[in-house]
Amino acid sequence: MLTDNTGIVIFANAAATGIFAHMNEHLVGSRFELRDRSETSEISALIGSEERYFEIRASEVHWQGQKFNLGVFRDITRRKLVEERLRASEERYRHLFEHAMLGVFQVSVGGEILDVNPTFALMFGYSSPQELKALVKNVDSELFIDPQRRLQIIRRVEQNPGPGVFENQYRRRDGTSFTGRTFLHPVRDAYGNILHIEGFVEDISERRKSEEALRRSEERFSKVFSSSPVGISITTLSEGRFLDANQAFLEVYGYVHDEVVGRTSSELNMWVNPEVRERIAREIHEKGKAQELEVELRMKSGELFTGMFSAEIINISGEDCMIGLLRDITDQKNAYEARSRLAAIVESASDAVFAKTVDGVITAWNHGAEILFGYPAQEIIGKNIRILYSQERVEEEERILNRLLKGETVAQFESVRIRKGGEPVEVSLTISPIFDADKKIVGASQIARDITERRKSEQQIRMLNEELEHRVLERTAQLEAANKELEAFSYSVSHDLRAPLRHIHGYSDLLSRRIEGKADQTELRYLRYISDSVREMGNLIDDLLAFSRMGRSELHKTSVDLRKTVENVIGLFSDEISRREIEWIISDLPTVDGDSAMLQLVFQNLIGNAVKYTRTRSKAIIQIGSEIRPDQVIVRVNDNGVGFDMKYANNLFGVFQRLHRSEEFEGTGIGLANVRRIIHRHGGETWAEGGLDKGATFYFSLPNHKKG
Amino acid sequence: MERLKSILLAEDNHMDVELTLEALGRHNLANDVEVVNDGEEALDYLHRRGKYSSRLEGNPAVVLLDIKMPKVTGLEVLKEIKGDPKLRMMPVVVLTSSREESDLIKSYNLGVNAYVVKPLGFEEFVTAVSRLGVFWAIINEPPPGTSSGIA
Repeated sequence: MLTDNTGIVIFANAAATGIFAHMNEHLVGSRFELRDRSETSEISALIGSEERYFEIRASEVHWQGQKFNLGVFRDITRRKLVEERLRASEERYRHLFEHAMLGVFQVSVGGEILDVNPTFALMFGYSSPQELKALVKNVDSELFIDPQRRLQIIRRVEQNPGPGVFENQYRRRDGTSFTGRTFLHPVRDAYGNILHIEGFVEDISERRKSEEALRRSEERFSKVFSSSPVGISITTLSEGRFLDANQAFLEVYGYVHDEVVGRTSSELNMWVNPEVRERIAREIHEKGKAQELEVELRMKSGELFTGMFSAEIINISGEDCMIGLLRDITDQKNAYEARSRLAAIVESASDAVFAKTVDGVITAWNHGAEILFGYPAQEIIGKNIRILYSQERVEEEERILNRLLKGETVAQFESVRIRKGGEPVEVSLTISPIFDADKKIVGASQIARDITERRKSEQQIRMLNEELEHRVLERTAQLEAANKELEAFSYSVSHDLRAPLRHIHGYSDLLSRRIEGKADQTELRYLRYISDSVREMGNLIDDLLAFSRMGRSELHKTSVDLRKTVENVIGLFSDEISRREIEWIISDLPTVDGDSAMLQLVFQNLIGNAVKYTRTRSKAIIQIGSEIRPDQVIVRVNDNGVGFDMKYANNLFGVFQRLHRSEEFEGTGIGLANVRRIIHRHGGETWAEGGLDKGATFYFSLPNHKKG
Repeated sequence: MERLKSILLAEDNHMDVELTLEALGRHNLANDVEVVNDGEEALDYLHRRGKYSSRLEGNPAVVLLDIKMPKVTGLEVLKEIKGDPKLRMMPVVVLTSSREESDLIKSYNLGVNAYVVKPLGFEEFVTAVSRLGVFWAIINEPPPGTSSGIA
């Protein structure tokens, strides 16, 4: 473009015309001032929709004495854009440089600080980059803890073309150190020579510390996890699949690690009530945690136990998991239950049970104590035990304590205590020391029983005993008197009743002699009847006296061979036996404890009866046998005689009871009464079986002293 | 014929006395029988005191002693006889109605020479008493100092 000295465009080539085409259709002739422009200037123009930049190089040219201005336009849009970007970029970097959280620096290979940002300065303890640059003379010693360190780095950087990362211990202005993570980038020329080094420093002391803390924490957690006596498991919240479980957890259940990890608790059938797990999972999901839940769980062996379970939610790799703590509290629960049981027993005991410290302070007090002493627990706990003592017994507490301290237990100690209200009560006390874990006596437990009633009962028993003794003496005296009377009675019977009979007999005999030859048959018969009656009366008296004696005379017990006794008795009847046909069937008979003479009398009566009542049989069969039972011996005498009607069986053993007239069979009716009396006195029984004309069997039993 | 020695019969019941004498009489033993009716009389006789103070010295060959007697019983008489040095050698036979064990024991403890229960039947009574008389008055050799019957 060429303008004249007035600034009117007189020529423009196509390119120039194109530049201005958008604003002037006719560039030539329009005004475009080139004169005032410096050698180069820039304009911008819109070409199409694109803004483009042009550099105008203006110069004066002279032609034909006239002065013209020549303007050469060069499209610098491209350069302009690059420049603009660079500028913006620089701006940005400057901003970054100034405000970065990292310390940014430029140093020469020799150690001269070219530039640092404010962060760098602050990092090293200087208020500004200017101050740092002004004060730091020797980078190696003033900014590094190890003065050799920088050179080592430089050498490394020289060997490696690219950027490097180093961790260094830097020195602050006040001498303290920090760990810096340093990114280095050597800036090289076209020949690869290092022009300077730039980079940035990050103070990672804090990060190091937290990393270390984290590492330690993890280590600690891992240790806690593995060595915790509390069972710890990590499971997925949704289905309870085990991610991990510690040793304590495995031990509680009886599993090994691999049996559990990867499987779910329901697969392992761990929950006695699976819905409990569901509930806990829901609770954790809603509240983030579940605490101290008592749950029933099943071991690998199938055994059940009670666990105390707490859990919290944690997120592992995006999945909600639950970290659970588990303690087997079966023992604890059992111990608690046992303690509760004991406590309940103590509480419900009717005896007063209470405890005190060595100083006498009451620490426990059951319901029985309240009833005995009248104080409710809340009133007396914390009070001194002396409250229960009367003034004159206070030193008793001292003595009891001394015995306890020697390790003794004071048992069934009877004393008097004072009830609430001052009324004394007689008590029996059992006091035992209470030891702590170190076997040191820390107190005493006392069991007190109200013995007022017992005292009364004892008194009553004593009185009753005395009365009883008195009555026994009285009765004995009465019995002795009765016995004496009976003796005197039978004595006089035996003397005085027999004498008149003897006289009747004697005189009727004398009379019959005197009238001999003169008396008729009837008179003689009368006299005979008198004599016979006297004899019978005499027999009755003798029998009665013998029977009476049988009841009074002492038993002389020896070992009696019943077989021999029977043989002796049969011998007594030899007279009659020799005149008759009698078959004797005698089986085994035992040896018993008894009065030999009396037992002989028993057989005398029974065998005598058998002989007598078979008299009407052409052949008598008499059987004598026995049966030995564990506790008794039963002997029987059986005959095939006339027998008796069973409805009179009870009368057989009565005194003077007869089932036959004396004309049929002689006898006074005392024999079986004697048998019964003798057997009773030996501790046995008598009974009989029979039928009219069907024979009779008489039995008696005796205690079997040869047991086993 | 052997000289009959005297018999002392201590018996309170007159019927018993009569029947006893009847029995002794059947063997001609009744003549030398002295009868006393209770224990006291028996002792008086033996000690020759009271109404017997004038009787001749000498003890009977045997004393037939009833136990149940008024005043002094037969057992008391027996006791005194056996406790007296002058009398103790004299044979004493208890002749009584009963065989009470207590009487037997006491009698033998006191040193009785025989104990006979009077049988109820008269024939047996006669037999027993006459045998006694025969034995003690005739067969038995009495201790020294025995009177030789009533002259």
